[in-house]
Amino acid sequence: MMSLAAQKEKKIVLRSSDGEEFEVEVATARQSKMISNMINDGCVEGSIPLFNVDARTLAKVIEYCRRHAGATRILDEYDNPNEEIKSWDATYIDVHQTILYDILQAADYLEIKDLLDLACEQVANIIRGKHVEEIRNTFNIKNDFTVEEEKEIRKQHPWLFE
Amino acid sequence: MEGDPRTNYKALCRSSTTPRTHGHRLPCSSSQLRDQFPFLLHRSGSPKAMLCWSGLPKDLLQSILLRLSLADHFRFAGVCKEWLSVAAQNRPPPLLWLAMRSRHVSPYAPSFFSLHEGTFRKVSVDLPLSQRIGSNVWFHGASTGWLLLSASGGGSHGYFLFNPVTRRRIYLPTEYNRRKIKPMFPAGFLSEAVLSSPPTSPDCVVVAAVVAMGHSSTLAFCRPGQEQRWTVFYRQARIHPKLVFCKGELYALDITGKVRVYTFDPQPRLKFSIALPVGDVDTLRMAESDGELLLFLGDYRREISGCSIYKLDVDRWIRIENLGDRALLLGLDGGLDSFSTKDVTGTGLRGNCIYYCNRGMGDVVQVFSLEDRRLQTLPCPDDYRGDFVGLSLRWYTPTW
Repeated sequence: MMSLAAQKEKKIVLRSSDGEEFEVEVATARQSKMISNMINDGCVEGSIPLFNVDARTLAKVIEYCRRHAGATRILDEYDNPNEEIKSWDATYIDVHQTILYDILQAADYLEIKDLLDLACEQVANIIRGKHVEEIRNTFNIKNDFTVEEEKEIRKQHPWLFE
Repeated sequence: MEGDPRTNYKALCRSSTTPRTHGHRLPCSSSQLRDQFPFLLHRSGSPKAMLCWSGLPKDLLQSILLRLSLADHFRFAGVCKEWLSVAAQNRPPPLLWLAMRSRHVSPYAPSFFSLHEGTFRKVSVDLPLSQRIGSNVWFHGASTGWLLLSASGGGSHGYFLFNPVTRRRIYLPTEYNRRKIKPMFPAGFLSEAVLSSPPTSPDCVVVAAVVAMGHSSTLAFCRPGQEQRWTVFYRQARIHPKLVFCKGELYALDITGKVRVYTFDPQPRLKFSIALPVGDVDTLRMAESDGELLLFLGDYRREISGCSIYKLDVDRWIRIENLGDRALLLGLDGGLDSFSTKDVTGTGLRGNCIYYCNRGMGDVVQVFSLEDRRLQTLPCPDDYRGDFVGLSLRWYTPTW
């Protein structure tokens, strides 16, 4: 295992699905369990292609990983509960649904648990208190129930739509 | 005639046959790296093409769903077929504390509490119960996710089963012994009722203890929605009988202190009766637990450590010293509920424990551990304490 200082200096290259390359510190890349496993297995030569993540999303994900890689070190050194990072997270994840969707998918694919939790919580926040129609509109979800099925649901559970 | 909502949900889930394109990591042949790490591949076409919230991988939808409250859980289910199938596979948490301010529901709606990491939380069910079911409503019990309520005055009159989640109401028969019955308050005409299964299921039997002559009660049954009257099948039950359904069979305590075991096929038939292991009938409680009938005996208010637990093994009682991952909850109304801590992860509830409400201590919930024989008081937020007055602590399992 390298020292943290050594990890910070060493960089690796991530390539997005649309071909853009991002040079990141190892500590940042290691926030992703998937990439971390690859580094441990010694399989990182040149750039790592990430077929499922486009440049816009990857930039956003790297922003998160970089902040959290730094936060881990601060926490190690001073052991202070980090309110600052929480409010940083809240601002970070307050994005449009389409970006949130991409972050969710990328965090799942790259196995970044904390980011995945943050994104899921944000989706849950958006859903909370909304009626069925509002949820459909917000996430642009097509109502795929048949007319009869929809009628039946409304009859059985009118409060879902009130 | 309304259909069975559960069946409808199931039917709707089955018809959800949209091909799943996400969550699969397809194999690839081209580069060595790809062979070594097949997960590097696309899950499906280009990321932009799969921007579809309804088609998120099931594990992600589940992770979102598990963060939602009960009401939001059901709204989530109504969005589209894919979400419905995820909601149907992840039923809401199996337990909530059902607390009633008194037996008299109105004007207070029932308060539901859950325990999360050892702390009580008031659960928002978002249900304006009192506005929905009338002005003079009484609570008689809860079974299979349904509340047994009675109402007088106004449009609704009589006994009915009410599902707070779906807000569905199923009236129970009003004819008993060729007479029209009227709810009598506060004791009620039905002093206790249990359901063999949710009333939306076609084979549901409701068994009730009917107070008659003031000395003993009779046991009567009906099939909701199918029969217009109660049928009496036993006349010598105790005034406050203990009724439990366990594996489809009814266990009822009679006036001589024996437990009578009935099967319904479809008429009630006495299978056998068995004497209690000790004579202390008044402190007896019964519960179904993991398919077993459990007995709880003893005055828990005086001396919880002196209480004893038995299980029925075919036709004899076996004393239990260790409940394993099961726990018991004693209700103030003489009820006993059992749950497995496997079903309640994250709540802080512990197995091998007895939970009960201690009125003498100011209605706090106490926990007695059979493991180390220690008694603990659960932290109860001050602003909730008022709700615990006269509460009837029961497990409530939401069903739809």
